[in-house]
Amino acid sequence: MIVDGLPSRRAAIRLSIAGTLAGGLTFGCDKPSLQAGQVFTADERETLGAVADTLVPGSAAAGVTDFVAAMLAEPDPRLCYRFVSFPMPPKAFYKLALASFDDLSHAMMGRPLNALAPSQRLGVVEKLAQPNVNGWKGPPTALVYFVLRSDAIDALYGVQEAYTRLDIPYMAHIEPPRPW
Amino acid sequence: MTEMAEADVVIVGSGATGSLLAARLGTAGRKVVVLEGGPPRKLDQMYSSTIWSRDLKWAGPPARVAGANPVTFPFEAGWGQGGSALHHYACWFRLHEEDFKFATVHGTGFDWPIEYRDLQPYYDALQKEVGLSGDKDQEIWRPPGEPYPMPPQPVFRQAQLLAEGFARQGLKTAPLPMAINSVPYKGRPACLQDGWCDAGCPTGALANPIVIFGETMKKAGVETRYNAFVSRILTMSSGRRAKSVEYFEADGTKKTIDAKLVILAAFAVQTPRILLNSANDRHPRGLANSSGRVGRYFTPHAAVNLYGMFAEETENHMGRTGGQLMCQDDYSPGPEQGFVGGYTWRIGAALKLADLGGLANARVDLFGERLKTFMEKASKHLATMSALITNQPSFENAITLTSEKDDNGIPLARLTNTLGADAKKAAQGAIKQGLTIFKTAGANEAWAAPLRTEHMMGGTMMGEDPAQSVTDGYGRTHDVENLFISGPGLMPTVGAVNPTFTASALAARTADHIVDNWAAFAAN
Repeated sequence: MIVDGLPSRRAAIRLSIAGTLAGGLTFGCDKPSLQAGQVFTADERETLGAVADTLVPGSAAAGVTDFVAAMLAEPDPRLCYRFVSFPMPPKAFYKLALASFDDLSHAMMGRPLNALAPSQRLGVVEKLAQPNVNGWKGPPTALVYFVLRSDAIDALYGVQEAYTRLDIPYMAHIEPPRPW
Repeated sequence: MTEMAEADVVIVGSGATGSLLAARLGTAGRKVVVLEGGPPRKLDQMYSSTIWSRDLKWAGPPARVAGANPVTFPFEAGWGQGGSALHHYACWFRLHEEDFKFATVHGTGFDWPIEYRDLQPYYDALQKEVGLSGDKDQEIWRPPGEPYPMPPQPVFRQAQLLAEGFARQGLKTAPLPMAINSVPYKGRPACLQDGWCDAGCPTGALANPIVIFGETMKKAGVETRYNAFVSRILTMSSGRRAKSVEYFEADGTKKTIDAKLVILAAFAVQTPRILLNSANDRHPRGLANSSGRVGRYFTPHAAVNLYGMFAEETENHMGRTGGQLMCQDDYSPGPEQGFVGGYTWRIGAALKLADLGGLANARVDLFGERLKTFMEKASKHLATMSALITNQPSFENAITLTSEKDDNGIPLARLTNTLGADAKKAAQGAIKQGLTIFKTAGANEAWAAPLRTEHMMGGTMMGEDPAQSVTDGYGRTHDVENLFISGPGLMPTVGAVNPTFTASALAARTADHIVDNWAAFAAN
């Protein structure tokens, strides 16, 4: 156990195996059937989609919330978060970051992020470029920027359709069984 | 629960050097057991996807990072059979002769306990065994040795453009030596030039431990135990000899295996972590740590990526992730520059859209519509090269244990790294030169990404003096006579080249030494 109150890596593996055996995870289709609602609340889902789409336009429609949620349900998520060595389990990191966005949005605009117009969202998300943001209670802003931008890039540009869209040969040795 | 077993040799880690040693020692008749912390890997599961490729990256206990230039340990390290060599870029350079005499030449850092001439026969033999492509004659900076067994790889437009820029600056370029087939070699096909190296190469064109050593290990009867995460090396009561290796299976079951000889080949972080966690009455500061040097002088390279946008298309999706051409004209500048350190240019890396090294991170500052516009342009017109920069060893840069523990109760590692002043000065010189090269090559715009680190070396360095180093020149620990260390952690200085070729050559030399002296090392 690394952080009190959160499942250890071994416990997470057990939960994943149990979920698979119980039919909670059914792979083999185009994308994992696990939906964002099973990991995030509706508000978190909306906030994640809004932040990601502000950072990388088109990533929400590409399914960034389902992507992050599906990865967080795996014992070893294929997210760029695994590269950053931040001392917090990934799910906790995301939930804290998303809650902090809404807090910031309330402080700046009086409403949650997902209730703002796209141009207003940009004003909130741009704050990530600043190392010290008044009222920000989440993980370091630079880290949040990197992680959420990377997720949005993965969802939109890390899949084969993006290469087709940009007219670049994908040239797979072995195509992945599904986009993520 | 403890299950007793016995082997002649237990090797911890199945990466580049662990697999090499297992193949060599197994072929020599030794009963070899490899303990691999991660899962087995299959070539047909190496999917061409920047997302799926992350399965090959470190997924073991986390490490904490500290210092002004924290390392990206989980990206550098591997997880499972083949270790980091399963996703490495196969840039197989030799260290230069002066790298082995760094202190003598530069008046700082360390000399190695061996010289280039000690390692040259192993470089030469390995490049035939593994299969290297390159051009010795064009690679004018390379120290003495046999020609490469394969011709160089093809060169695509971005590297051609940049080579013109180098030439206009009076700088020489040459094919980058790679452990990737340019032609069919030893039953393995030639590279398809599709830039998926980082996702693992399922064709076997890129030399990874599975395709190079897997069959030999199998024929030699080497047993590999997967999901076997090593926690400690246990010693005889005298403390002078290793007795057994303790490890945990995936379900938390603790086991031990006796061995006549133990080799730690668990990469630059886990090897010192295991040694420090193996402290006992005879080795209160950690096993093989009478010098206090276990974990110390952890020495990543400094590195910087440069990018430029050209009017014409650059074919940046073609080639290999490690690059196409190289330049070492500033590998070891003279004292007139006022600081110690040089660099190697690796020119024309194949780029994918996403992931740490992808197109989108060529401008990490961009988001929104500006990022979208950039991606559309960069996917056809971007070119890149990177400088790999010498970094000097520092006692303060270290792998230490934290008070936090993993699921098995083993303290987590903390990796502290701050790049030296000389490395930063060398990086500034490289950036200035590189931007000029892009300009003279015809780029419309050029820029440098933030300074970063690359590779992980040191932490269990070899040396002649037991008071100042962890192992001798063969990787045998000074303190425990039947305990060896293998991998880039042995390197006292790191030069300005990717370390896998040197780590492998050192391992081949260690293997010969163990085979030749087996009776002495295995005696109780």
